[in-house]
Amino acid sequence: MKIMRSSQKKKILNQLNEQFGITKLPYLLLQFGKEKLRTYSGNFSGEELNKLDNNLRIETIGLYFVKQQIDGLRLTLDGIQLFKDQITKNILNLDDKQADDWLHGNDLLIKLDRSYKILKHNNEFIGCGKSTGERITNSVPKERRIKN
Amino acid sequence: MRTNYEPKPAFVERISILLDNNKQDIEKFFETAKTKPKKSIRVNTLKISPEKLLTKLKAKGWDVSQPIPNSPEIIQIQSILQPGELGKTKEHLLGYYYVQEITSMMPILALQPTKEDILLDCCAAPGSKTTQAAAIMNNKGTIIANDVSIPRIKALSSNLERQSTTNTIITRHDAVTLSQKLKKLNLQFNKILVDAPCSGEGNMRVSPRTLLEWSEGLLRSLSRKQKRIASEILQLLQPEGEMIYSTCTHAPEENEEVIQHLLDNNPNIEIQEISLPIKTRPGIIKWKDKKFHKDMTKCHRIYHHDNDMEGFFVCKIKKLGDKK
Repeated sequence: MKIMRSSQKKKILNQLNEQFGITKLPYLLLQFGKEKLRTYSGNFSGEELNKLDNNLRIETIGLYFVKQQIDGLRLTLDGIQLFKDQITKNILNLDDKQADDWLHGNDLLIKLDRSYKILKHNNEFIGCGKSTGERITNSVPKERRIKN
Repeated sequence: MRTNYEPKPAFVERISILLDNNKQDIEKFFETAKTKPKKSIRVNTLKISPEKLLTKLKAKGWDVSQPIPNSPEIIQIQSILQPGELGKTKEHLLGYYYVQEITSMMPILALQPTKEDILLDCCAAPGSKTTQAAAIMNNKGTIIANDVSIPRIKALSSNLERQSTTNTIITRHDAVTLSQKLKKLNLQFNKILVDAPCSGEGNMRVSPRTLLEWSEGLLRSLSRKQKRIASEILQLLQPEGEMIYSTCTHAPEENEEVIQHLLDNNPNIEIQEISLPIKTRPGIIKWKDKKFHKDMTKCHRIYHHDNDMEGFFVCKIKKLGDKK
């Protein structure tokens, strides 16, 4: 576990702002592994968390909300929910059929610019996917997909 | 298909004693045991309001109700659903609700965590009570959610993600090790939940196999384990702090006997009165040749036939003394 410094946090916020319009990251940011960023809203300081980490077997802290990828940041399903009031950019509204396909774990055959899209259906955010130009690659975790 | 198992004679005898040998009560208990309880869910108020979720569920054609006054987040499903249907909806996928039996929500309602609390949930998986506490605390304060096994931690972690809890720290230790390590760090808690691993007598409506696997030997073994866990974890409670001890079983060895063990070894604790929004019966002060403290009547025994739910035991303990 690594607690991100304010300069690193600022860099992430700038990127989130550029991609999705997010303007505030009010909580501590923590890095687990190379790609996963988590956010912790509790009342322990970074120093206290480090002390715990050095003495306990900590599995996770806070919420996994964004994955750092080579070509940008991909918000997780729960990360989107956390920032839903701030998201203003790269929103793609889906129809019923597309939303159903997405929630079942299928890619969406939609031609768009290459970037990460926030998927919305009936005023609900239901995911974030990478548009390859030809399709939007599904990122709903297997255990969260709707099964028939 | 549901298989009902015949309760063992020793189990019938014990339940009969617990129900004061009231024939009608005993019959109702065992008749209810053969039926499934109604499904219930808890609205994840971190993501959606009870009113909005109710509207969505009603739009599916579900008959839903809010059976507990002052707890609108608790919803009971009156409709008969397909097996697994509750876990397959879009609303579940998005973490708008947690499938949880109503009696299992009682420990956190009794603990009443607040936004300022440092809470330890020492046997946290799969996370029903951790997520309930996080929602009440509005993701403020801090919850250390601990469990011992990797598969259980995976379930805990997945449920905490789905419910968008951001104030939790998941640790993996057995209770004794956890207590020792936290003591070394001088970290104490003002709220603790010990929802102890138990024989699950209260779950027999959902898991009828409990009756098949039940034995008095199992109760004795679990009682020893529960005393060890509760004793160790109690050491982490700060003065004026409160700890809930709960199980989903009726066996006095796993309930009042554990509390008595804590009282015998910790003169600085007392049992607190709590008020729960469902029908409960007082803890007992005598079991076979054992006598328990008179305050044991402040504990709550929940029998499945009293509420058409599942069985539970809840006790609140307070540590006395000045904060220093």
